[in-house]
Formats: sequence, C-alpha cells, structure tokens
Amino acid sequence: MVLLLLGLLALVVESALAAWMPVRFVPQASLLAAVAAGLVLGPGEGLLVAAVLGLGADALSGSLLGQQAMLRILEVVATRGIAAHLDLRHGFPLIVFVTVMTLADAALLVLGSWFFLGLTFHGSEVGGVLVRAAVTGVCAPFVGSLARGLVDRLDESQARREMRLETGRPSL
Amino acid sequence: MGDFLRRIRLPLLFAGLLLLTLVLMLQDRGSPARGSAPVGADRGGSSSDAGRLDAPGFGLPNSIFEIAAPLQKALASPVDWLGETWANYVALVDLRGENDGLLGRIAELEEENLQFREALVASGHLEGISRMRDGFEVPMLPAQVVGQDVSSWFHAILVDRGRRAEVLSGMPIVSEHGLVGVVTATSARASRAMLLLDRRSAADAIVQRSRARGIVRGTGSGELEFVFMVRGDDVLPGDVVITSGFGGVYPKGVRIGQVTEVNTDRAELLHKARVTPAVDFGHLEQVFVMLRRAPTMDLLYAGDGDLADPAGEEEVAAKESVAP
Repeated sequence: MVLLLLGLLALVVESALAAWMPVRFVPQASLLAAVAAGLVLGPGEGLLVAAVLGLGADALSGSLLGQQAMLRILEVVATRGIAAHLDLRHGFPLIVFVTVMTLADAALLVLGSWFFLGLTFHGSEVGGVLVRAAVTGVCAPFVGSLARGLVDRLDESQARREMRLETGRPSL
Repeated sequence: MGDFLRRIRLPLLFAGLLLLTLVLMLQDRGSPARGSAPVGADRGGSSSDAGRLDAPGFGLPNSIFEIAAPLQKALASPVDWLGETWANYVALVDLRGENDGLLGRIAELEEENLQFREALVASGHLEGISRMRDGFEVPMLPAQVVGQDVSSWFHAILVDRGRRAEVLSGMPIVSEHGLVGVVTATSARASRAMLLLDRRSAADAIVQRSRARGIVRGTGSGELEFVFMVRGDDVLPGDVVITSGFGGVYPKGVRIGQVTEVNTDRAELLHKARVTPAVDFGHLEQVFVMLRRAPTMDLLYAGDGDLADPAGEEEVAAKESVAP
C-alpha cells in the first residue's frame, strides 16, 4: 500500500516536472515503481500495484485508458521472470534492465497506439526515447534500494509488533 | 479443489487484470466521443482522446486526475516563485536602456495607431468591426497549467479548472499568443486538454493574407502541418495562419502560427506547409478556456459526462411545444 501511494505520488511529481522541463529528461516514474513492485513485493501484490499505477499513468496522459496499465502488468511479470535468473539487486544490471524495459515499453505503446488508434510516430522521436530510457535506467538503483528499504522497515516493524503481542500473552 | 484454486490463483489474477485492461482500452476506444480517425474538416474536438474521463465507470483514474491537479499546483509553486524572482530581479539588471528605447517605440506606435483609427472611423468601418467583435466575444476563464502529459508520445496538459468552473469537454483553450488546444476530459476541479501539437489534433484554418483554406494538423513534434487542397492557393513562408471558424469548434481568427516552409509537389494533390506554432508549448503556464462549446461538440459529448446546456434544451423544448 505504501509503495502504491509512493508510486502514485511519483507519478504526480513526474507530471509536474514534465510541465517545466522536456519530457525526455523526466524519469518514467510508473515504470520504475512497477519494476520496484516486481522486485520487492509478492507476485499478487505486485500485479495489483502495477495495474493501479498504470491506470494512474493513463489518467495523466493522452494514452488509451488501460494501455499503460497493461504494460505495467507485463513489466512486473518480466521483472519477476528476469530477477529469477539475474541478480537485479545491484546497480549495473538493474540500470541495463530498466533501460531496456523503458525502450520496450515505448515500442509497445507505439504498437498499441497504432493498433487501437491508427496513430503513426516519427523516427525523429527515437532520440528523445533513448534519452528518457537512459535517465529512467540511471534512477532505477535508487528507486530499487528505496523500495527495498521501505519494505524491510515495514517488515521489521510488523515483526516487532508481533513480538510485543507474543510477550503480552500470559505464560502457561 | 482448494489446492488447485490456490495454484491457479496467480495466473488467474494475471489473466483477469490483462482482460480488464483490454476491456478498458476497447471501451475507451469505442466511446461515442472518440469516433473514427478524423479526416478533412475541423476535427479539433472530435479527437479520439475526447471525453474519456467524463464517462462514468472510470472512478479510479478520475480520482487520480482530481487529486493530482492541486498536488501538481503545490509542486509548481516553488518553481514559479524561483522563475518569477529570476525574471523580476536578476534578469532585469540591464533593462533601463531597453526600457527607454521601448518607451520611444510605444510613442511612435500610439501615433500610428491614432492615424489608423482616424482612417477607420472616416470610412465607417470601426462600427462594423465593433459589431463583429461583439458577435465573437466569448467569456474566457483563466486557468493555470499544472501538469504535462507523462508519456513522450502524446501531447496533453492538465489545468486547474474543471466542471465547477463550467469547463466542459470540447471547449477551446487559447493563450495570449494563440490557439493551444481543446478540453478533452474534465473532473470537478481539473481538466485535461489535448494540445494542437498532438497527432490526433486538427483545426480548420486559413492563411490571413491570401485566405487560402486548409487544415492545420499536429505532427507530434514541435511543429504543425498545414494541408491545403487547391493547387492555385497562395501560401508563402512567413504567412500567418489563423482559425477559419468552419465547423464551429474554434472561433474564427485565433492565431495558430506562421508558415516556415511550403512544399508544393506537383505530383501530389494535397499541398503541405510547415507551420511554427504561435504558442510556445514548452513554456505554457497560464491559458484561457473559452467558455463556449460548438453545437457539434454538444452533440459529440452529450451523454458522455458533461451534458449539453440544460437551459438551451429547455428553450428548444419550449419552442417545440409552441410550434403547431
């Protein structure tokens, strides 16, 4: 829940940032949050968080409602799949993975827009997409460690609460 | 059985969520306001983006949309403050000389303006122009741009005025420099507008000098495309392009931009010109919503969230009841 709220907040910040600087320099917050969810949450939770984040991104964008939600869901599945084979906890592999994921996300968004809306896109925009993918990739280790730290802290406080409950029980 | 359900729970959730997003996409694509890919005349408001969040059943995105606007406004405040401080103090150091020059220029222009007014009054045109202005006068609502499209592919802005301020989907948005776009989704306190730059955007336009008519389309990049049909049409670099008013979506005479390059390939039926927008879309802060919606837009958006003017409907109903 905390990760979801943080993801939605990041989405709002992303939209505000995009109003006063070129979009290509703004990291793709919902994708980062989806990858973080895939890395630190359970599979069910991760899918739900990704779906809501994607719907949020759709609400603040001109894309079809559900288009980015579908991509976020697929990204969680891909993150879990890749994380099972590669150690994505470290900086460099995570940067590469998120950069590739951002490019794949852009390609699928273009494909979906062409399929559902008949829109075509110019090759001139590829440069901007590459820059955005790199910016998003660079931010990934920070977001990953933030999410991991947050989940660890929540787990710790949960364990402490349970311990207090244990000690409060009358001894036999 | 329980074990089986537990095992297929995740694939089921995955498939269910994918199906849900697919249904949402199809519903959104097929919503009445979307229509097919517009061709030809004024399709500015008949965008495929239109009316999405007005439609019932999209509670969550609508809430995000509603909550995001004030948050984004709060986030933008410190940035605006810094920008204003820079513009009002730091950047004004060498302005005294420029100011003197401009004062002189204003005096010259006032004199020139006076002479023009005299000439117009003398020919009786001023009264006509005044009448025409009255006819076109539309109440304008100032709105602040609080957010920009989070995807690289679409061009939309979020403004801090919504249905409570009588903003409806299909209303044009302008700035002091010219046409900005059209409102495509509204919530109680915020609205989203599709910019003229978006690929799905287009406006019927004319060249101010030669009256050559065509359509200005968004290209998705920072420029616009003016497509004109008649081969003999006179379009030259430097020409100013304005809205024609045909189709009624945008009022006539709103500045769109300036022609920078004309491509008149004889082999092609449609000639094209590149237009640099009058509005700097990268630095939009304050815009104005024209609180007037074309009848075509009323038809398009009726039943899709923000309904046509009920007073107008009552008037029509009263007329129908009086008619024999």
